[in-house]
Amino acid sequence: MIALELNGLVKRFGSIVAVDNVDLSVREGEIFGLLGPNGAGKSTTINVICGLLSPNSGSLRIFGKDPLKHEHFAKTQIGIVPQDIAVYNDLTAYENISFFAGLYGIKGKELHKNTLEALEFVGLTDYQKRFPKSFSGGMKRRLNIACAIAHKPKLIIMDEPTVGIDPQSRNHILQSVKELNRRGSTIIYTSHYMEEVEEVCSRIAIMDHGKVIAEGTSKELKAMVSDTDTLCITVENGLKVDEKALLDIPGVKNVNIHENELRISTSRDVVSFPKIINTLMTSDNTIRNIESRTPDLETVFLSLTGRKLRDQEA
Amino acid sequence: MKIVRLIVKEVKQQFRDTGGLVLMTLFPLVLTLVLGFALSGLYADDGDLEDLSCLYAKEGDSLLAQAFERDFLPVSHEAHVFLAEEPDIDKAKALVESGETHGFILVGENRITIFTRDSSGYNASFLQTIMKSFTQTFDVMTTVAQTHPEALQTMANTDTSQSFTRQVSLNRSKSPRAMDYYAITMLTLIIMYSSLAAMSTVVEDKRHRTLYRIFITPVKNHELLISKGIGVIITTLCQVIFVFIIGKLFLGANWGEDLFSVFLVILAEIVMMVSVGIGFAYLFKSHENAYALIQTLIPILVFLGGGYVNLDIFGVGGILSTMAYISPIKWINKTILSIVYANDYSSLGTTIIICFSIAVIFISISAIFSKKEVKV
Repeated sequence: MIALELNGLVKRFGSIVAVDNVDLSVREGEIFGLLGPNGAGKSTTINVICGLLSPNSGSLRIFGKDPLKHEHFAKTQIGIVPQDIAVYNDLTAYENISFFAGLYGIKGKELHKNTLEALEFVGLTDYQKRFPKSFSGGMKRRLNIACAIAHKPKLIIMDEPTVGIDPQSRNHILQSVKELNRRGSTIIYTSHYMEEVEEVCSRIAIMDHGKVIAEGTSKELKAMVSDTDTLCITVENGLKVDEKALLDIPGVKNVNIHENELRISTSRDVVSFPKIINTLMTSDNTIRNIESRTPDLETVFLSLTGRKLRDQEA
Repeated sequence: MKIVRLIVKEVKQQFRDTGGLVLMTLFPLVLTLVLGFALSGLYADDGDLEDLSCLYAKEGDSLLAQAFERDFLPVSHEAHVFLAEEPDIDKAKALVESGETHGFILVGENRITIFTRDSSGYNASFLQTIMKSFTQTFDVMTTVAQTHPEALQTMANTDTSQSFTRQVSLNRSKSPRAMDYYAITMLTLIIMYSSLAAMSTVVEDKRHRTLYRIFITPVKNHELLISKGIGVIITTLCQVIFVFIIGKLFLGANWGEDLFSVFLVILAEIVMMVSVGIGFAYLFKSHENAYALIQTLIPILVFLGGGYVNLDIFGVGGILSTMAYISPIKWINKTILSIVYANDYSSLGTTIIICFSIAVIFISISAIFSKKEVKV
């Protein structure tokens, strides 16, 4: 069964097209990754899915039903882990989870049971009577997740759930994502950390400028750039080079400059390496390191858009 | 059920805000105590009555005017009211307005009109009470004369002429002492700050992104608004009742006998201020500006309303007195004081209408602007 289906979805803010004719289909039981830089349209798409924004055109279906006509059904099927931690500091961990789950109409013993299960799932049972203001960043992130899953949604949308936390908590959250999926939830996981998406997601859609520019499994996406090599060149004291001069070299597909680092996608069929080095040297650059990388999702994104995924991080 | 859950959450959060609780409970009690003692000289006390010099004029030579001169004038000094005739009505009114005389009594064909600077002040209440007593006695005598003239002789043997002054001295004990005055005004002042608590419930929800989390649940926008309003109203009412009981038990504050009407005014003020707070939270994009505006407005409105000191006592008249009526707190204080000390309900309806009208305006603002907030 299809958990979520978007057909020709468009959302505009004035003259800005935030979501541009997006078609997506998420199957029940899969972990679907939505990859893209900030401003790609991921959050706007999520806000449309959860009913906070009305689309200008197109349609969406959640478990086969139109959420505009079956609003209550749609909302109770979805659990959202927002990018920002959204919990009350003056309510205990237990009260936070219980309160949000209660807003979905769950009550009495079921509410108590679900709350305890959610606490246990995120490893906060021992801290249920504590206030979040005394929690570490990772614990708050876990509470943020617990508040989204206590009403037992069938579709869980996680919007950048690992931002700003330590590796241990990140690992805990990634394991939680897999465990939730194992228990039967369909998950949409958005991130601009490609390694996370690659680790947990069975299928991935890459968004940029409001459009889905590629979709498939990690393997399928990488195959799209099988004819491409990526060169990572690090220089000293800031990169001094004319980007156009590099793009004019035969075989160079994309160039991305970030401080001292130059990342170039080149065609495997054309020998462009000596010319690239020559261009850099004549521009008075001191090369510190050269690395050739096998294609990863970052390469895919770079190849498709000419930009790095984290170019637009705030 | 969702509304109940939202309300319980609001009340729980309000009661966990210790700073807010202290502000809303101990602050008015301490202020009442301090101002009650410090400014006791400006208000009535348990000692001798203050002499009131008043003017009077007669319109014609009616039975009422005759009774006034025959029965009231000779004994008015016993009630510490010293009367002098001033036939020029305009001049008498001007003297009242300028504060040169405490009041002016116009004895008409069949009614007595009293002119004072502020009808809710102590002097006004005092004069109203004494003249009401006189006219009631006069009405009884007139009715008896028309229906049972033979009974007049019996009544004449009774010393009715001085009954007004005795009644007045009874009412005198109900005039506000400084402690009584500030028990009322500090309570109405502190209720003004419930707007900040109401504003905070919305602002904090926005700041912590919990508003987003609520909007993705099946909760409707109006359910959220209603629950926020009711939550703060319940909390404020609990605080008011606490202050009321402590003030009555330990400070001996007089709240009169008609507690229902007094609480009706208080409830109207709470509803008004909670609505204003929520409205401001949605109206202003910058929460700092909203806070700053409310915190600037409250002291001004309270000052005009006589919250800190009764403006009448300083003989303030003219523009400031007129301006005072733009302050809802003026109406609220005036109404409560009139009910408690003069049994006067004339401004009750107006005050309730003012409070609820302002509440309706700000609830509408909240409803309109919060819909826009939903669209994140």
